[in-house]
Amino acid sequence: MKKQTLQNSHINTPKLEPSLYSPDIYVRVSHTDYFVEFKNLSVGEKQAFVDKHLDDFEEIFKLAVKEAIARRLESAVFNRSKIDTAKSIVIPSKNKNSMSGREEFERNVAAFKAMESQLKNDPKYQGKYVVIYKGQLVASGDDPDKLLSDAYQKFGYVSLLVNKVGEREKTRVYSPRYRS
Amino acid sequence: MTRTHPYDRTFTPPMPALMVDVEDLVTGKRHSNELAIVDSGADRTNIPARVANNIGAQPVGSIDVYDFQGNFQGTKALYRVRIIIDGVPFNVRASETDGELLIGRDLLNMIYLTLNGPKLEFTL
Repeated sequence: MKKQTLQNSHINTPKLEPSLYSPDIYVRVSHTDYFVEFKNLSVGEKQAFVDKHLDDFEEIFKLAVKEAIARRLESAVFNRSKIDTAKSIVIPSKNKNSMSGREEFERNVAAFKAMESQLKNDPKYQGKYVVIYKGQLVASGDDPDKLLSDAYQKFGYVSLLVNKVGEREKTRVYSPRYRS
Repeated sequence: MTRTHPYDRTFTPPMPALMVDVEDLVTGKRHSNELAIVDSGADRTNIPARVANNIGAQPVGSIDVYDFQGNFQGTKALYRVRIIIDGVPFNVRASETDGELLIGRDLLNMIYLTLNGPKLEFTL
């Protein structure tokens, strides 16, 4: 799907696999936002997200519908409070020019290690959680879950680190294994 | 509800191990029937890199891994996943491993586990 097409058509319904079609599901795409409506429940994103993922828009919608079904959002339809608090869908990042997941992780780890001592000495970050994305510190705060959720809303479901400054997480595997 | 499983006799000595499913917490994509070793010696649940890759899990943090002698093994990725044991889901932050899936004490401390060594079976 080309950028030009999206910009010229304010409302554009993408082609979906027949198996994903249902009278209960309505998908709308425009260049300013999108939403997926499943019965009376809708989830959506704003323009910045759309612009960021234009090249993968058709794929995004297939995923969004699958997500809506997988999360059984229909169970929330008859309870308004549940609808209001239903989690929005996080779309996997599909940037074809991006680094592999392994490379991205290693870049983020290297960036965190490089800035760690500086952060530890900065009162602004001491004891805080920081979000490292594409080798850059993009957010900080006290609540790692909220930081992660906010980052996914902003960047999609991507490789990133939410690490605590001054407290490197450690794990030990105690059980030695012997091979004959 | 409890369920009894036999030890895996392909290990010497036999090992408490069972098949589990692993699901990505964000997308819900699932990897089924992965052999998981019950390992009270592991601080944390470990999932193989190929499983994380298969379900498209994205790292959410990093963790320094040490072996049983305290030797640093490397910095590994942390993933938010759901381990499904006998149909019961457990949400964990699992560290990546190049080895087998290990059910560590982060998860084991949520459940009742009985090892019956003489019978080579365990119940959870």
